[in-house]
Amino acid sequence: MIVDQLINGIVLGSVYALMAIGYTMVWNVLRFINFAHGEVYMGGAFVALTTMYLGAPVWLAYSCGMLSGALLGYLMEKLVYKKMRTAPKLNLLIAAIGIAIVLQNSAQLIWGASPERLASPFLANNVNIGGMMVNQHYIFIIIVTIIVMFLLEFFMNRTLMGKAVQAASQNIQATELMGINANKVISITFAIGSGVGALAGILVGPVFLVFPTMGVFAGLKGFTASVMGGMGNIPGAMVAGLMLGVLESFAAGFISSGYRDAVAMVILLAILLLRPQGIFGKVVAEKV
Amino acid sequence: MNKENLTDTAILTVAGLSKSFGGVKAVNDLSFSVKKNHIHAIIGPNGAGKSTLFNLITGIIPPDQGEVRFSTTDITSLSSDQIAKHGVSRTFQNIRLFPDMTVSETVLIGTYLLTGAKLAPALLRTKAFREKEQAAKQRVEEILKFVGLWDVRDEYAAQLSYGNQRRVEIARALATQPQLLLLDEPTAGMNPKETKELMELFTAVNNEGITILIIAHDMNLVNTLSDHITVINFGEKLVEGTAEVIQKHPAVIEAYMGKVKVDA
Amino acid sequence: MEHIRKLGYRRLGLLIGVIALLMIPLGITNPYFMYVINLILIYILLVLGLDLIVGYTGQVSIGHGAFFGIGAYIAAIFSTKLGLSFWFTLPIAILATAIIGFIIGFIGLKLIEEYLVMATLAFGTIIWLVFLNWTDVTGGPMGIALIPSPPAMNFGIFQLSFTQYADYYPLLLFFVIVAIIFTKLLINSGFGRACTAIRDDELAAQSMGIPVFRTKVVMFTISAAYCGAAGTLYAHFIHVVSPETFNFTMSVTILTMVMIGGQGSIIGAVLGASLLTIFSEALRATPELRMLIYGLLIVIMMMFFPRGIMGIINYYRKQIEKRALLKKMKGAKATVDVKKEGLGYE
Repeated sequence: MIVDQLINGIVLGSVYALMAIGYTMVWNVLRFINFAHGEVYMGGAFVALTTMYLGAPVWLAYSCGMLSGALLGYLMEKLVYKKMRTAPKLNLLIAAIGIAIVLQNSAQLIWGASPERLASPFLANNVNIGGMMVNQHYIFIIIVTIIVMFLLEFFMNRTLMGKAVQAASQNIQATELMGINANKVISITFAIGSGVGALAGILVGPVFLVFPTMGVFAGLKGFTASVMGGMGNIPGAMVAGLMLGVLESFAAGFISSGYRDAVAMVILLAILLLRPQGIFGKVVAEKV
Repeated sequence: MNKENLTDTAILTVAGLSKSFGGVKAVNDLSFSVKKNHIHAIIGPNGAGKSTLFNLITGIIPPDQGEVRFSTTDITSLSSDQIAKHGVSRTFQNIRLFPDMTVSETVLIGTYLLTGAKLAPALLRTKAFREKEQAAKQRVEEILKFVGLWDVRDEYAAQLSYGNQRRVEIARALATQPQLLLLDEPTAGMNPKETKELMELFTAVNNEGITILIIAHDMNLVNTLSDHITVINFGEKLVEGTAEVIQKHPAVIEAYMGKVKVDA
Repeated sequence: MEHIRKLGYRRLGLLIGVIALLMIPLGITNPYFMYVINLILIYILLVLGLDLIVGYTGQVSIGHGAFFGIGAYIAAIFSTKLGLSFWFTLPIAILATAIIGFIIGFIGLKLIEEYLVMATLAFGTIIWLVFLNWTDVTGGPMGIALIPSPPAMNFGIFQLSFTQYADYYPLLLFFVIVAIIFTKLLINSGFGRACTAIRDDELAAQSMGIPVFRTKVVMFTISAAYCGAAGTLYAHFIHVVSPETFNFTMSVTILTMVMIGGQGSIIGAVLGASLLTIFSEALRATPELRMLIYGLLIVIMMMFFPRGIMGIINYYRKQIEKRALLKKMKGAKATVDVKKEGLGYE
């Protein structure tokens, strides 16, 4: 029972961690919360579903989903946020909510509201781990998450573009002065964050099904994880995502499943009030 | 006018004040006092901790150590609104106006301490409420005429010239009826004409019985206006005294010349 | 003398306006239209309430749907379980939402900008989950039905029996007018000015002696109370409350109305609530398409008209004033700046 909850928690947590990365990366370069990020998660899953329906093999369908998620994030930024660089934060926020509404309802128009299951070659099999039967797809989710995290780590710290993204998160104007194309950095940030978010949606598609509003709560959770990890802190977001998944899974098992979603919200409130810099964040002195 | 008779008492006393930011001592064991009715200047090289000192005095940031006394009241741990209530008002180094307000609306904000914010009288529009509102409007008119902004009262404050924006800020501060006015580099970025006019305004304000503590870089302004000067460097007091004393002091010359050397 | 006559005209104009507004039900026979108009009035109350904290104080909340819900549920519970009439549930709901608003404000308003947005979002979601899961009290996903109408009112020549939509109209209109007057009195006072100062520059406001935190909390409390009142009216008007009405979408809808109408403006609040309600009712037949266009509209407004409809109106008013001024000055070069009210971003 406890091990069961733990594995469920880690699977959930992996998904939250992948979602959190998108929020945190965008926050890093633009200091803004992309409220439409949950819809990228949903969009990627739907594209994977359709590609598979058209007869594509699983790996191709998953990749298509991920790429279209990245494209969606890229377009969002190019078409809307880029035009609003100097706008007040509140306007950006409302615009993001508007985008979320547009995407959710487009999905409903195209694919309908009823949940559908994304196929997975692993779903039917179980693996025996120390006497415990664990669904193979769960193991697949955890492995993919670990790979993605390593790739991201490599990208951020070992490539020139990754370093530019890091520099932009320190000070985007200064980055511009150093001859780095800030717009390109922002575009790439959006594309990568959204691609990873879409992957999260694709990974849970076989378990929690695919439907137009699937991104709403996943978005909230991912976003809670990014706050827990400290806004802008990518490794922090990953760890916090896992923590949130496990906590939620235990809370749902031992308290009440109806309030499972409230767990994340209570954690979010507590973190904001007690440690707004996140669990792993440092307090930054503000210059008045 | 003989100021010396009036100014025996200290209106502001700073004692052993310290503040560090992540290991850097912005203000270090600083002590000085400002006498009533004086124009007291704080000078020092860039990064000497002058603005931090102002933020400490007005309660925007809390000090690590030390004490700030206004007349006889300890205001060290008070918040900035409470300090304003005691009669200390200020302007900011980079002018902070309300972007959506006209000049008279901006100055009217300064009358908050006069009108208060009680809800019941406001909703019932009691006689006392209307009288206070009238008095506030009256005060705004007087102040705007005093600082020379009456003609532009209905224009948006943020659209005025730099010099006039500074005047709006001073007018807003005056509307709180301060006993002590803190001016943080009020003439930075002004042309000589604007500087001269502002200097006249400071003298006029001082003649109304308001003590002024001013941060400035313009030595001409400091020498002309101030009754007393405190020089600080690296958050510590270097020397203090009248303009003649300061100008000849070797430590001051070194601090300023040293700075030049570093820059070169 | 001139002054008095002017004031007289203004009063007369207001009186004619109110009478005209009261006559509306006589001209509309379709009960559905009456229903939509009543709905608009409830939304106006909500938007006026949220605008107090967003438009006038500069603190963003995307959790106000929860206050609306709390008001509605309190009215539903007290009227169905304890048999209290509308005139008792209303003050109870207003008081309760004010208290909860105070607590939430007191906890949350230490946070700024995005952090406050996130906290209000979390609060709204938690309250929604309580509506959904506290089945014993809230009826769970089914909600509470059979909420009674307000007791019949008799005004001699005409009476309100609250058996049809048109009967609710004068009652709702009364509360909207009260709310507008209340808002005006509040804004044009030392307290209201303190709020706008906080919105524009918190640090400068505090240095003028304004207790920033306390002022924000008081305004948040009042703002919550408006939504509580709107919730009570909603419960007694629709007769059913259920959790899905008061979810995140509701909070977003109210905030969108504030933004589309134009923040910090009573006329903007009325326009925002009316246009968006009419718009979404007009497209009722195709819900997905309706929400799609709704979303697009929001994005376009935020991109190109950041100050909402009032921003557009003010822009053109300034243009006309400028032209009139130029005509008056004839030849003299006038430099009337309309930059501040400009439509786009710099």
